[in-house]
Amino acid sequence: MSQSNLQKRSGVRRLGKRFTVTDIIIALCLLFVAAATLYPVIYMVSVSISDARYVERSEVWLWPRGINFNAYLVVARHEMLLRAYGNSFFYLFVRTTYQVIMTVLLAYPLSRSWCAGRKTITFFAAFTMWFSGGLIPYFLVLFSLGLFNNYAAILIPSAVSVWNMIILRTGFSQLPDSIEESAKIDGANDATIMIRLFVPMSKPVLATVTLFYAVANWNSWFWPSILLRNHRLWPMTLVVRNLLIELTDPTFNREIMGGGVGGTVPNPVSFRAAIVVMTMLPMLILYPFIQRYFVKGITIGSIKG
Amino acid sequence: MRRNTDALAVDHRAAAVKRKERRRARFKRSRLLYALMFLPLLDILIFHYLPMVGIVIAFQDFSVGKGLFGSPWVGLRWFREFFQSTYFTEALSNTLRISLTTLVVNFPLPIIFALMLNEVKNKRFKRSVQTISYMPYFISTVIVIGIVHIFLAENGIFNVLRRIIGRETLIYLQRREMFLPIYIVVGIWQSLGFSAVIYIAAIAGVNYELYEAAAIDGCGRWRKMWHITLPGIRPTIIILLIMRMGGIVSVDFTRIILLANDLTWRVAETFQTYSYKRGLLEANYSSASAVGLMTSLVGFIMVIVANAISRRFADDSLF
Repeated sequence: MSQSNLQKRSGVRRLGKRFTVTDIIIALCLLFVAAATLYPVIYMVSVSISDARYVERSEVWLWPRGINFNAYLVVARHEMLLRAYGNSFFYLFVRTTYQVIMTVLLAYPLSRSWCAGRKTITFFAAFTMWFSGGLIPYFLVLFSLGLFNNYAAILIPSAVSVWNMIILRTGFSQLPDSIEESAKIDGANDATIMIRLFVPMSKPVLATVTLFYAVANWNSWFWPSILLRNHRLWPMTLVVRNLLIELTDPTFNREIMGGGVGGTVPNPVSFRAAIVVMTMLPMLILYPFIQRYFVKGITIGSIKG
Repeated sequence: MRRNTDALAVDHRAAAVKRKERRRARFKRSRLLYALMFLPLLDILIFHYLPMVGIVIAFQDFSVGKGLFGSPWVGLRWFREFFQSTYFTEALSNTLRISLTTLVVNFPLPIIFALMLNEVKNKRFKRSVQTISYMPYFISTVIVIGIVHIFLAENGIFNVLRRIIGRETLIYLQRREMFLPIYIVVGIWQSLGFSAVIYIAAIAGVNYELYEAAAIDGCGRWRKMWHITLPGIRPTIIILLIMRMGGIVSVDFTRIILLANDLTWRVAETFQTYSYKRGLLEANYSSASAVGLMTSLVGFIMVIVANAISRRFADDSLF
């Protein structure tokens, strides 16, 4: 009897050591956070692939019912939506590439401790993080340079993010000086050293910075909404805004809801959900692969920034 | 004696010449670096510093036709007009209400979340929750607000739930009293995991031996958290708090633009949204710039003041 008691006690204690009440409460809180984060996304996917009957009667709660892909078929044949989707990818690839190149060009020189005037130039760049001219002067600069209502208006302005530059500079300066020195002895110049040695050796940091730019570019909507009057230039984010949030351009909505190939869109809610899912998808596919870099980037940026 | 000072002066001059030469040599050596930096610096000059010059239109009666140099000067007219208008008190109270609520609610939550994650022993569970938590960072605000519209619509799940429990339909987005709660909840959903990353990194950096020593001294979980983890991440908390202080006059105005509508603008109008509507929608460039300039100046001053206070009292500062 005393032995079984002892066993019981030690069993309880072992269990108690592994999971106390506090542990369980914490685990439940964290589970709630995870569920609340995931729910809207899962819900949108479910609505987008559910049968119209269930969606209209509000009978879709979590998982899809009467699975079909009609909404996506409509989107796939919809000339205007495909165009906006193409625009989004175009802005994403071209602008991100341009930004990464520009950022490397600034970060590498500023990572060289022997560069004369390095501190002054760094301050010149960093000051823009603390003070800016504001929306209107910025808009007027773009407008007077002709960066309005054309592709260039999205692609060119404000390519260098100082925050990303600092992350990249930190990455470059962490590589040993001996790399640069030995390459110099072999007669290489700074540009060659940067392109052939430092850039390939800083892939993780470069990936981080590319990621930050790519996410910002794909998701951007504010400046496009101001700079793009012609909806043939619109990225997906503006389509979503017009369809779901605010009618800034009623004709656009009428045209879009009029459907792709003649007919009307069968089920507006699923159709909207499909557009939302399509706009989220590229970044959501990307993020589990790059989250390692992502965490590192935030940490470097906030320490050095 | 005299000869000695002469010699010293000569030495000085020689040293100065040498220093100058060395500096010139360093500049010469850096030439290629300057060439590399030229385009990005031009980008910063045009898109960051040129708008700063453009601030002068806040003191002009600017019109695009007359340009920056042809528009007449009006001094502080736009500032005076704004301060005397009813918009000012409205925008001030809304801005403060929104930003202070954000500070009180949204600032501590990532810290609590990070501390909670730190208590989880199961690595896989911990990593899964963290990975899920920063997914919203990858979703555009437009999408997030779009989903909010679908959720809160007349036949959205919130209203279906209300009807099930016998309440009547509520058009959430058209109710003034619902604006701030929705704004706050959306903000939490968007930024909780992302903001927590910094704290999680800071917690990971706390010296592990301290915990072992505390365990030997018989400290429980709460005392470890209170006496080791929290002091360990205090500098991080303070620095982020200082940066937040700078944002006290600036709110996430893009979220407001997307959430507010004609029925709720009275509780949603802030300095930035006012500046946006005045300038970019109504093309009143000068008066909008005046409001924008005021906002960024106050923000700039707030950062400096908060920094000075924390340097004085907490020995931690941003610069």
